[in-house]
Amino acid sequence: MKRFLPLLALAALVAVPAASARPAAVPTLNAGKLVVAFGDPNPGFVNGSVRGSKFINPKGYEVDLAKAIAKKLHLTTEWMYSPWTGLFAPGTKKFDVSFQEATITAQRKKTVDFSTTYMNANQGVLLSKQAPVPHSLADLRKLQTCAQQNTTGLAYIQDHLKPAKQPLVFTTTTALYQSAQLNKCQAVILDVPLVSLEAKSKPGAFGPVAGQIVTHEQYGAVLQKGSKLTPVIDRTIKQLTKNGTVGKLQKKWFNMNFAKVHVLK
Amino acid sequence: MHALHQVLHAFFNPHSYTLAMPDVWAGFQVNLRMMAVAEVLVLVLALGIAIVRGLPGPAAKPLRALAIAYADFFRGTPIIIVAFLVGFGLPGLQLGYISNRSFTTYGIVALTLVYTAYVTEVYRAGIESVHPSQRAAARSLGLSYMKTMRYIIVPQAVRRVIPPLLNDFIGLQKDTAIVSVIGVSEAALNAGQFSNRNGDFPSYVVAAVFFILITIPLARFTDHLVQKRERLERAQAF
Repeated sequence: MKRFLPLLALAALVAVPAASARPAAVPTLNAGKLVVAFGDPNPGFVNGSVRGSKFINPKGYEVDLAKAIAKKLHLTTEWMYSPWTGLFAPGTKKFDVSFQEATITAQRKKTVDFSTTYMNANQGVLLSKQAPVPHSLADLRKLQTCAQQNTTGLAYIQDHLKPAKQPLVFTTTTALYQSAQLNKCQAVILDVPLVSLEAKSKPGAFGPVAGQIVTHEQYGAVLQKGSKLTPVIDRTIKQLTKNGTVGKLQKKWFNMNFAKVHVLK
Repeated sequence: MHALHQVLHAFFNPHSYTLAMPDVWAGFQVNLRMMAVAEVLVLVLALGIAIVRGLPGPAAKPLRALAIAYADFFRGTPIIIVAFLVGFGLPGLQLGYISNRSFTTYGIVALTLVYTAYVTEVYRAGIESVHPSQRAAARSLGLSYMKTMRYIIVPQAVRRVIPPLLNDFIGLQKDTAIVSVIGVSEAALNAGQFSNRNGDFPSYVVAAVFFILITIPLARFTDHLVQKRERLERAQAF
């Protein structure tokens, strides 16, 4: 033991100034690294390819936002894929923070933490090519609606819209959009930024976006319930909103004012 | 102690059971319907294909090849892929009747396609297990191939393959949950939806219990048949 004492002393000498240089280490899963999870690719928000639980070369608004946050916190980033199904299931998360257009709701807050909002989103109505265009919510009730499992869109259909036909429910966004392209589903009910950008990215595949339903929803990043990182991310998103970064990124990726989409009543 | 409490709360919260029951039961009725229809279709179609596969003579060679190709393809393809192929592929064809069915119907078609391939093999094993002298005797009495099958071979073969047949049906009953991927609101999907909304898992347990309630009796019945057959065969040995 004696032999190592000088070595220990030396180590302490090196370690102490290093620790004091960064007084508050950011409480991530792996020191110095921010593990960011994305969900199914969605145009504008996050594009890239998913290989198992890896997200290869993601690009989009949420990716740039995550990069900006990591930069502010002096962290490196690691990307991963975390499916939407199970995002709000209780349990240990494998990511530090996940951006997947998740609407902040009281119900979900019981099992996960949400960051402060990084975007507003109402519900949008995307029609299939053959569907008659609804001019009111009463018209919309007559169509075959569909939604993704575990979304506020589905909750809206079941709790508020209550259409004549049972909505079709899909586990992935891909299957949801596919059913609308096949006219099996006449009206997709999903966040208005998502459906607007999907329609724009595949011209001719769908009918028009019939409008938006004002629900005053907001997207927040998802974190482990009770995570010590939540206040840190909150603070950073607020700073980035204040200094205009968030607005600039939205303009860069969406180039679309979703507030101007026709409102269905 | 805390962990035990967590487990009890997450999986066995009685309040969530009562809440989840109606939704999951409504979904399970769809499973039951798919099972019933698919099982009848599989029984009939698989026997037909097994018989085609055993057709004698060089003239029937293309038919035999088709039957083999069918069984190879659908036995080797994951059912989830068949579900997408049928559920999204057929409507994409825009061919009137076949493109305008419900997703539940497409689910039944996918299950039938896959399980017919399995059951064809089961039937074939049964047919081949009947002693060749039976066939030879029937043919020498002047019965045609079809009549030999109808009156001599198939009745003996089917009795022998009932246990493995029921085994495949247990598989089919469970796999009705897989076709939820094409938007069939069955028990597993409804349970998932409920679990996501409520933040716990009793709804999944409820769905599991429903499936178990119908597969266990079938499994015991299969055991019973196997035992009965063993007793019979031992008796014959003396």
